[in-house]
Order: sequence, then structure tokens, then C-alpha cells
Amino acid sequence: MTTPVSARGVARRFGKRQALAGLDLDVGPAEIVGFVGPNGAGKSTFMRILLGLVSRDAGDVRVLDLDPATEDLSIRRRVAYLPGETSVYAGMTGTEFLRFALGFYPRTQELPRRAADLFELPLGRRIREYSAGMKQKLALLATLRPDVELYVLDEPDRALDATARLHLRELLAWLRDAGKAVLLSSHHLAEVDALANRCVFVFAGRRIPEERVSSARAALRHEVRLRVTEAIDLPGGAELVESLPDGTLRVLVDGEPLAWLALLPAHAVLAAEVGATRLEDLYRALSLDHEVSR
Amino acid sequence: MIARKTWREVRGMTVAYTLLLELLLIPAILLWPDLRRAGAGIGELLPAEFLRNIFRQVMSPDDDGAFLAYMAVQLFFKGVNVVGVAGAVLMGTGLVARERENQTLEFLLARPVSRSRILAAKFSVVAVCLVVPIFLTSWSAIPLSAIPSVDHELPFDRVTVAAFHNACFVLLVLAGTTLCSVLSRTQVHTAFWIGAVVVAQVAIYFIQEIRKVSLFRLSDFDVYGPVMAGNVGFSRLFMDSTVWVLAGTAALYLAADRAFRRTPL
Repeated sequence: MTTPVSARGVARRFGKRQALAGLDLDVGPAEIVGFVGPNGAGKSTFMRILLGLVSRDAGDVRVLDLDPATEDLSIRRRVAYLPGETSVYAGMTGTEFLRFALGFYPRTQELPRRAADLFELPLGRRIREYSAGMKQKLALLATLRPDVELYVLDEPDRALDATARLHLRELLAWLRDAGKAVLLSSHHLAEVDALANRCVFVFAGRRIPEERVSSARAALRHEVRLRVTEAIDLPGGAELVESLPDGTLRVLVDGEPLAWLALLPAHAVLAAEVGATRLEDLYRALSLDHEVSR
Repeated sequence: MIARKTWREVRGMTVAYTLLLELLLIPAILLWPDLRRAGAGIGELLPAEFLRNIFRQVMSPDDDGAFLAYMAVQLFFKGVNVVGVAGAVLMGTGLVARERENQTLEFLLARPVSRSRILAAKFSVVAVCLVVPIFLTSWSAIPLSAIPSVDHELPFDRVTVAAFHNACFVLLVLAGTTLCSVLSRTQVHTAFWIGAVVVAQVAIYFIQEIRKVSLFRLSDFDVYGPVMAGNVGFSRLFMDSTVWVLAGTAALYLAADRAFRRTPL
């Protein structure tokens, strides 16, 4: 069976800046892989390498069993790619742009029509009259063709409103259920959290090793987020980490969080959430970890 | 797809450029009888010796030969060299730099088309948009010259040969502009660099001592005058001059193609 993405030790340098320093990443069929990291971590460069738009200095990359360095055109025929910093042609109407963008591929209308219904775009209008979110929706429509095996999406939810993000989430889940592979980079961690089968964290061109992610996740298992109705004294065996502006308390529990929660006065607790389920917390933990290790 | 998109982008400019070529030509032809009557005295007011030489030919006693020299100046030396070069710079600056500036380049490059094909499609559309009006305008001069108030014959073959050479020269400028467009991050940068080169070449052309090194020597009256007079045919013009213009165009285009294949996004 064809592996959508298999990359080992991918490195790329731009002048003095090491954009990628030996990145490993796999994406399997019927899988959404969240690609998470701060700005400048090398995510976009890696995606461009997958498409053959940027050459790599070292490493082995296979996309649908093809090498992007030599078979980039074949890859681009079979992969849908949404660049992160792209724009659309302002002088065209939405329909003209879609006709142009999709005209490079065999004709198929199934997904664009489905997506157009979801996004409700005024395709007859000139793109220069579109808002930033509408332009992004149009770029998505032009990208999300159903006849490809792999979707490489660099910040697809950029500038989208909450409703459109929900629609995008539906679309991507539909693609995954249809057996497609998706590599999804986004700064909206809640979206990635909701969609991705698994996440790959990248900092300064390097992937955070799986064991470090696991240990950070394990540490978070002891974190509890509490919303309380009144000021309370926390029972022993726990330490207050942070009091958030919305009144939420972040507490690190020594033992089993559920047992500790049982010690709280029930009437004073509005909501309680045990950590390790939120990608945002995991990302923050890894990010702090990375800062410390530098 | 890319060719059609490029045509959409330059069609307005193409119409304006064609009209400008034609609008410069028509009054020039209609002015001929008055100019002829005014006599050679005007020529002595011209600032450079080579311009006075041209004017002397335009004012020669042989009326037909004088008109052919006049048309070599108006149609090619002045007309296409000014408007054609300006058109090549205006249309060529946006070929790649505009895509880069508008952040659409990556979207375009992500299509399953090689960079060489993208550049070839864009270049060829603009080349056609520049070259076709040169021939159309040149040929339109033939019936215009035959109107009773002017009453001169322009030989089709000579006009076509001169137009061909002049079109090749415009393509040379377009190829240079394309290279600049590939290497620049914005259209303004492209226009600045290619504009600086063109202005420098024009300045050199007007300095008697060094004008032989100006690129415009490849497309001046000394080239078109003998062609229009019937003294130089296609093969001699091609071997003496056009081949160099074409070689320069090919070299610049290949450099642009190579740079485009290697350039980062």
C-alpha cells in the first residue's frame, strides 16, 4: 500500500538559518496528522519540500512513494496543497479563479460543490471585493479536490470565522473518513485537537521526540483546571500553578487527580477538567520545555 | 490556463500599446507634405550630428527615397523603438514579480506544471502581444501612405523585413525585462532596474564618441534606412544584425528560465 508521507532526517538551510534540522515524519492513509509548532519552526518549509517547491539539503523524503526532488510534477498532480502565505487573483471572480485553479486537473466537481455549499461564497463577485476570510475559503475550495490521496494544508483556518472553521472541520473529517491522508498545520490548536489522529510537534526545525511528548502528557495528567463559585482553601497534596484571568485555577496534583477532586467541597466547584486532554496545554508544556533546553 | 490568464492581464495594455503605435504613425504620415515643403533648414537645428545626417537623407532631392527614409525614422527608429520598448518593459515587469508581490506565486507553482512551462506560457503571450501590433501598424502605413495628400508607395516586403527586425529587438528588451522580473521581489524593483538599463543605453546612444556600444545601435536608422531604401535584403540584415538580436534574446530568456527554476519562492 502507498504511504502518503515518509520523511527521514530532512534538513534545509537558508543562508545562516537552519530551517529544518533532521525532521522525521510519517502520515498514513485515512489519517489526519496535526503539524504543530511556533512561527518559523520549519513547518511551511517542510510542506514545500513535500511538494518539490523547495529542495532539501539532506534526508530522505517519499510522498506517495515518489521523491519530490525528481518527481515533483507527479506529486503535485496527486497531492492537494494549500500554501500558508498565499493569496488569490483579485481581478478574477470566484468562479473564474476556481476554473483557473482546478483547470490543471482532470474535471471533477464533487467536493468543490459540497464545499461551496458549506462555505456559501458569492462566486460571481470579483475577488477584490472579498474579505480576507472569503479569500481563504476560496483558496480552500480551489485546493480541496476529491481526486487526490494526500492533503497538505498550511494554516487552512487562517482568517476563517468560527462557522467556517466548523465547516472546514466537517470537510476534513469527511476526507479522512473517505480514506484520505491529511497533514494539517494550524495555530488553532483546538481545531487540530478536535480533528487530528495524532500530532507532531516541531520546534526550531526539529521534531520533539515522542518520549518527550509522552512525558509531558504524563505530567499533564496531574493537572486540574478548576472553576469555583467562591474562594476555597485547596486540600493538601496539590499546588496552585496559575490563576487565569477568567477565574480558572490551574492546579498540579501530586496523586490521582480524581481522588483529589473528591476532597473539594462540591457546592464550590462550578467545573473541573483533568489535564492531558488539551492540546493547548501540551503545546505550552513542550514549548516551555524547549525554551528551558535552549 | 496560464497563457489565458496572462492574456487577461495584458490585453488592456496591448490595446493601448497598439493604439499608441497607430496614433503616432498617422499624424507622422499626414505631416510629410508639410515637412517636405519646410525644407532642410529645420535639420540644422538638430542637436547631434547623426540626427542631422538622418534629416539630410529625409530631405534628399529624390522624393521617393526621402519618404522611405522618413518612414524608417517614424515607423521604426522612433515609433517602435520608443513605444515597443516601453510596452516590453511595462508588460514584462509583472510576469513573475507581480505574482511574487501579490503572494500568488506559490499557489501557481503548486499546480502540476513545471516552472519552465509557466515562464514559457507567460513570455510567449506577452511576446505575441508586443510583436503582432508592430506588424499590424507597419502594414497599416502602406495604405496610409497611398492617400492622395501623401501619395507614396511603401514596399510591403521592405516594411515587413524592417518590422521583423524591430520586433526581434523588442523581444530582446522583453527577455531582459523577464530576467529582471524573475530576480526581483516587486514590480517596482523590476521597472527600476530595467528602466535604468534602457535609460543608460539611450544616453550612451546620444554621445557621439561611445554610441557604437549602445544596444540601440542594433535598431537605429542605420539599420532601417538601408532596408527601406532597398539596399539591404532580409538575408543580409538577418546575418549582420538580426541574428545577434535573436541570440541575445535567447541568452536572456534562458538565463531567466534558469533563474526561475532555481529561485526561492
